[in-house]
Amino acid sequence: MTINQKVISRIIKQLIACILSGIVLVPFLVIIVNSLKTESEAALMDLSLPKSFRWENYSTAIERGKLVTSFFNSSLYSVTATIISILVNSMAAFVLSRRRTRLNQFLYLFILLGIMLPINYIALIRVMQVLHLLNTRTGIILLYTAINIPFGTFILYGFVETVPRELDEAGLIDGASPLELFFKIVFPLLKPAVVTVALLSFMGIWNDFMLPLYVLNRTSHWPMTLAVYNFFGQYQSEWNLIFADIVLTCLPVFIVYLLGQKWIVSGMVAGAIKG
Amino acid sequence: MKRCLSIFLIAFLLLGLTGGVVYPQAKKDITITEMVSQGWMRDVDLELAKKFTEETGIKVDIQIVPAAQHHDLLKAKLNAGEAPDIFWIQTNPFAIRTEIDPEKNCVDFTNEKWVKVMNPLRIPSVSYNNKVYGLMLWHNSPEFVFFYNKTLFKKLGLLAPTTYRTFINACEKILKSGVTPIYEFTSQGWHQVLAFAQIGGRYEELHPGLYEKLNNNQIKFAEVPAMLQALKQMKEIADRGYYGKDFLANDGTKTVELLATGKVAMTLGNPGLVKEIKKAHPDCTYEWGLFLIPIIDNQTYPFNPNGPARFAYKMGKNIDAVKKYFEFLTRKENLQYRLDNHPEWTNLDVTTKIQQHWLPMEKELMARIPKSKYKLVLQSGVKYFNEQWMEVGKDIEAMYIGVLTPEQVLKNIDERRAKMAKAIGDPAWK
Amino acid sequence: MNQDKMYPQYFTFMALGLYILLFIIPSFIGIYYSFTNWNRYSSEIRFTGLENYKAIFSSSGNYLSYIYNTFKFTVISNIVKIIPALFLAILLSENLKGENMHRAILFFPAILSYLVIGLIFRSILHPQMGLVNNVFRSLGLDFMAKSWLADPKWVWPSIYMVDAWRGVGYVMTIFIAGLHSIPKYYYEAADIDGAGFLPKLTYITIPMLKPAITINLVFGITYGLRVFDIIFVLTNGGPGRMTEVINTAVFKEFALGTYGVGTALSTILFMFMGFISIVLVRLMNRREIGL
Repeated sequence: MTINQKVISRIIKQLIACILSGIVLVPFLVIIVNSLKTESEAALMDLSLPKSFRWENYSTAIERGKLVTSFFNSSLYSVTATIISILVNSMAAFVLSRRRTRLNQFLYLFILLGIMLPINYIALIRVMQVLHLLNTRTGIILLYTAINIPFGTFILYGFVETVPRELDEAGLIDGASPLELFFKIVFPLLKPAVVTVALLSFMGIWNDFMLPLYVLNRTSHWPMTLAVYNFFGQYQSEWNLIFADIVLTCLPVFIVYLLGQKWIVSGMVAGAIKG
Repeated sequence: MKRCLSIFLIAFLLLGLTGGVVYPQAKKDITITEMVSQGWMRDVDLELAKKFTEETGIKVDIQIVPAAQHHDLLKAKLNAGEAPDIFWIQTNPFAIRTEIDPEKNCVDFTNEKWVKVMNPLRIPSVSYNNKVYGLMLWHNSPEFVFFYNKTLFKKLGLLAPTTYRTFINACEKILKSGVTPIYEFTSQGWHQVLAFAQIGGRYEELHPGLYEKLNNNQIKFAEVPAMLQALKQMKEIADRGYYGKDFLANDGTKTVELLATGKVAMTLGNPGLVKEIKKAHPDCTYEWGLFLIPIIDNQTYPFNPNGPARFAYKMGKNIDAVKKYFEFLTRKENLQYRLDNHPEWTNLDVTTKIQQHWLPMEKELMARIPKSKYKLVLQSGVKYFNEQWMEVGKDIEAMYIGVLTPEQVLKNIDERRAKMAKAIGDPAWK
Repeated sequence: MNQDKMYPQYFTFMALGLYILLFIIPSFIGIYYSFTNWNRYSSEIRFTGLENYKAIFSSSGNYLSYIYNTFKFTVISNIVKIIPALFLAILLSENLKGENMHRAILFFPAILSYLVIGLIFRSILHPQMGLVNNVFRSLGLDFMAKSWLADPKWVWPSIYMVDAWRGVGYVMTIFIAGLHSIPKYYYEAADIDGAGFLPKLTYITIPMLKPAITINLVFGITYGLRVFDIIFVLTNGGPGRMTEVINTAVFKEFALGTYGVGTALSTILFMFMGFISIVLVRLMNRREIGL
């Protein structure tokens, strides 16, 4: 391709990306624009600009929705559960993928089962009670970890194959222990997959509102996702505050995703194979 | 390196674990938990709770949960012995035992001083076996009658209709003038059932003893001619275009806007809409009024003693605190405060003499209708109807589309009633 | 054995422990309930064997149409999401300026709660007052202003569109991870050989994306079979019952209080999904001969 052709093709690609992003953004514009209106303006949910920009909607939403405490809760649950998840899942996926004994093949499918298992909340409460985990922050963190295991292990299992076995042998010859082998050699090469799983787990936990309803009985322990229900009325709701709340709840995940994408760097295996 | 890593991991896990135990708990403060479904509490209720805390030091942890999960969540928590100190439910005397089993789960408030604050007609809704278990502080506005644009009607020379015929004629005239007569919305699933259920008293008028017969399984919905006629009339209204085009896509959020701008003439709603319209369009000069749903010439006033109410968990650890809280809420100045600051209500149904803010249109309607015409609505008088409200809504929507006939809608109601009755072991359904 | 030194079994213990304790046990208890008469009304639970299942298969024919809708949704929604997502992933993995921002924006819809999505889209798609139709009308394209969620001809396509809006970013994210695991020198070698876009796609990208494709298929299929929230919030199974799927029916059973039947439906679905997924995964996981 000539330089010109390359430039044109890049411009076209950029254009396509921008158009698509634009289309995807429209509903968000509706949310953002309406979060700055008065309650009655916001009920219309159209793209007209607010008569006056009501920035105070955000502070009202934060105050009435107790968003500061719940922000900390959301962060605690999402970050901790994601970190434990990654460690636990990557180790399991590694062994299950590399060492395909009958037992391990069964265990893998057993874990996969979880992707389809329906959660039964009533049974869940009972089990958590017995384990003295009900209504504790530890409990919900462990619960989130457990629920993410099928999903995380499944993704990581697939990507373990992209890391060549020769590296393991090399590591063994160099005298590495299993943990060293895994964390120093294999884990770094799984980075794209690990970061992706981390992002998706983080988002899934951040957005969840069902589990806190059932296993956390204090609003001081609740995450951000439940605050929005404060603004619904029986017949008319405070849409402007609802939208402001949504913007505030979604923003952290957006930022985390944006930053996380920078961590996905490719083409790392090049040196290792030849060497 | 390996040791570093393991230490790091262990430290992290320990941090996480201890977090669950050591995290700041309320020290010596008493906190009572209150679980309520979205929409039943407004900001003024949260303010009252704060005032209570200021006065007594007792904190109230108000947990507002999504409406779709409320019921199952409460049931699960009661089952597991984990219920909050106070929980709200939509009362239903037929189902109260199966819903919350008051004798097992609720605190008996029969001898509390504040019981008499409630309107005596509502006390049966919060009682079981002659004991009072709940506190209901709700409004008594005519609910779900036709809220209409009086100015527009006057312009077209129309009066509030009292029969089906005059209603249809009015709608026709309105439609011809370029305005959508009725704002109806079906996509929420519940609104379309109102026209059918709120006129329950009319069915009872035309078929005396109907409610009792239905509850004893001596007659089925499909065998009640008045009900069939009502559905047919509803279908006629839709077919004639009185709901407007594309009403199936409506979801209720535009009610205020469309009324205030004169694009629709009426809707099945509440007087509270006046406040909403004023807030959204302060310069709207329309006059508003109310009239009873005239389907099958109904002129009964929809009386519904049921509403959201608070109950207290018997196995809770702070029952005294709860009692103090209820006592606080029922004090005259607090009742007044609540009404004055409520965004939608015009009155509070209590025996205490507080200053009500009845709208002229409400007073006028209630004065016009004799007390003998106050009849129980269908969902409060007949078993196994309220629970299937959303399903009936779907069927009525299907009827509007033409996928189901009115006969089929009634048949489905009967089938679901039988299913629920059998599941509970109701002796009337063998 | 070397295997023990490199791949010790204890690496799997934590995962298995947490998983069994906090996930398997509660779920299996739930499945047990589907064999009982557990319902909202009584607190004693009686074992009733297959009664609930019989009720499902014999009762008024509707369930078959729900099952058909569920399958149709699964197939079409996946096609509509996976193929565009693949191309988007490729587009956004070439170091375009602002690439990360584009990725984040496309992914963003997945973050929204389905309640919000329902609110916004019902508003946007309203035939009279919604944004979409207003835009069409202002461009003079009045005939394009349909009743998106209430017209039987357009309701399913509208659902697929909204579902795609929400889901493409997620699928794309997984493909991006997959693309970044493909060593660059494969493409460099192909370029030297003068290969164009299509051959590179077919012979390098797609085969090397096998893990990512498997993941997206399994997730996509289980999502499709289990779909509830997007349909509930856009149409609630309507108009009428045209867009009713298995899980909206389950929800309905729970609302009526007959939990046993609801759980039975969930269980059937679960077993079916389990079967399909296992078959799929085994097919895809047949060890690839080294490249």
